[in-house]
Amino acid sequence: MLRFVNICLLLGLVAMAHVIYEVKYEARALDHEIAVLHKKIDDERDSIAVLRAEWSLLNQPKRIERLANKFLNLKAANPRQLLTLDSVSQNEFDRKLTVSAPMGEDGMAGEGVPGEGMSAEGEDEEVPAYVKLLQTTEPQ
Amino acid sequence: MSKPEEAEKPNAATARAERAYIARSRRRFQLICLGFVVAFLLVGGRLVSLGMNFEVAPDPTFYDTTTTVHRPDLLDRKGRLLATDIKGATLFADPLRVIDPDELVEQISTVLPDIDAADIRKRISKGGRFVGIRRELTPNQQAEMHALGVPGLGFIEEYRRVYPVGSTASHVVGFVNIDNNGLAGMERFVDQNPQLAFMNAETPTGDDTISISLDLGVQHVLHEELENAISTYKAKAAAGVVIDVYSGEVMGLASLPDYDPNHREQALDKDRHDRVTAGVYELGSIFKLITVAAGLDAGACSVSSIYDATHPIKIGRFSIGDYHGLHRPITVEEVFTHSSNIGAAKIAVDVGVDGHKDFLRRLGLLDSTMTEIGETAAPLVPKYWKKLNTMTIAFGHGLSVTPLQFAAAAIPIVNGGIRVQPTFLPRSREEGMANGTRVLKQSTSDQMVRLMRLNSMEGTGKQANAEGYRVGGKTGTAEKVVNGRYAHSALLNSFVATFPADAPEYIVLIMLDEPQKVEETKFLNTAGANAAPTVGRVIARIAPILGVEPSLELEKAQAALPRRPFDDPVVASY
Repeated sequence: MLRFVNICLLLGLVAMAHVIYEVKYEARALDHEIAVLHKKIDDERDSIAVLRAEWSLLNQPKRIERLANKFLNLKAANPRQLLTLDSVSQNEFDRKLTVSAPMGEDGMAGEGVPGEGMSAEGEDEEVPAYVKLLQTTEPQ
Repeated sequence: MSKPEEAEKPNAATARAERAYIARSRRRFQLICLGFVVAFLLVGGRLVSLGMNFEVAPDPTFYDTTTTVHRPDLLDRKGRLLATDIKGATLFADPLRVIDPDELVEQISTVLPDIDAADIRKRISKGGRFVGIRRELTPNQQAEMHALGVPGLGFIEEYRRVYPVGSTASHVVGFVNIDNNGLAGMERFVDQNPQLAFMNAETPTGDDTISISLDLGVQHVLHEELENAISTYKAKAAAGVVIDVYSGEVMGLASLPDYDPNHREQALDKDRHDRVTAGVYELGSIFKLITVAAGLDAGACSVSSIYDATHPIKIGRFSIGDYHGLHRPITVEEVFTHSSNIGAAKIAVDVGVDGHKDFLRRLGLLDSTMTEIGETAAPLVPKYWKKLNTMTIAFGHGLSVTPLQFAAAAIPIVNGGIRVQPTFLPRSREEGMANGTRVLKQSTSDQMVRLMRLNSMEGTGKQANAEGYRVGGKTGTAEKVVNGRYAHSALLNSFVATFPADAPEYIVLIMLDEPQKVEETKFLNTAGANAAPTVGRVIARIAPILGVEPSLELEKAQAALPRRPFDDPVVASY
């Protein structure tokens, strides 16, 4: 009886030793992997820092201004070009819109002119027509 | 019988002794067992406690080789990067592993041509384990050096500070030394106040960031316009500052010539120092802003009071005259818009020597101011303050202050009378106002803003106008002291402006050192011809950045303000 127990224990011991050996090696491999990943994270962090510095180097106002002058057909807005919505009467706004509409001659843009297409849709009365026009950007 | 008995007796005795011995040794045996159990429990417990420790032991092959401090990033008020750390490598040689010093040096010099070959050869031959060769290698240089494959060379990784915007914000941001310790500007302040790192939430990568009050856009415009001013007006130097009049935040500060903080050795050049906080100047006529405010606030005069400016004032061997002389009795309004020295001197005398001095102290012009980027240079105050000093200080001679202090002193004059300490850290307007102290009456401030606006509509500051942004300001043309005398040819021009004048939000102060008479200014070298238009251009560009709404209607309405016509007889004359 005692002998049987001893043999069992011995076998158990061998089995445990094997398992522990396996686990230990696995853990060591994982440790190594962790260290490698940490190193990789650090490297990524460093390159993020470099890229951030580079990004802000490229986004310097000085450079953007130079590029804008070179490639854009735009100039800084002049206070004379600015109007607030309250300062413009409805008629004036409609007129300016018709004049500056890109497709002034064909029917598409004509429908977009407030007073015709918009009021027919029967939306809220108190919303000025130009606001509705600004809201509907999709071509009808 | 007796023999066996005799034999049994000792037997019994031995048996007894044996039994006793066994009994004793069983206890010993138990004790030893107990000892083993305790020892095994101890070892086992220790093993478990070691196993429970989840801290990852550093792998010796991947140890951290960084030697310098990691600094938090500096951002502007809108989160744009002003200063950051990147990893740089330091190249060193390990003499024990160097095979041929001559070849090593030769190889290195293919990548770094400017090394001192003889010095390195000498240091390697001395032995030891570490010979530093070059710090702050660029990634390219490091890769090339690595590709050489020379034995005996190694790299140490170090943090290196880079300033992506270069000289644009140099004087405020400051710079660090080679060990990444802050030496000047906000960099130094950050070192002294580590709690600042909690100001912003950590970035996703776990780094701290610190915001400062500058706006990179404003800073860029200021820097560029000052650069243009120097080249257009052939000035020796230029400086400018933009302050929010409610929060006291410095939105922009530039002083040219300046340095690129990426090349810190440039900062040693004395000519590149920060003129806004470290230089004191007799700022000239912009002091009339203070003088008139003092007169109005003390009740010594009103906007329509009349002062006789027919003749220069003579005190002893000194004579105070006007540059834009009217040679007649003039109102306080005209003293301001025509920049009359005689009028300003008389107003200051009316306020009184002590009253004037007290007023200057209240505005902080007699003591240096502490800011995050260091204490401003101490003002040069006359040792004996007499009536003549009061008269000359009234038009800006005899008292030297830093431009930053003057801009800060102009804050209460335009914001309704609250003195706010200028700051380089972000602060809300409510907070700034809550920390401020009242130093002027509301009515004084209202009248002063009106005078400033009037001056840039029809006075000496006409050219400072930026269409739509209602600029108000005062010119200052000061003669510099050359060899102990005021020189007519060497001028220090300045312009202090506020905008929008119907509800002032910002102060802009520009100073030009020795601008020349050039064709662009119709061969004038007064402040109205160079400092004022510079301010106008700066405001036209920064107002949209700062969110000030342009309004041509308000501008028109202001132009229609009622004038106080000059029709009274002479009521005061000296």
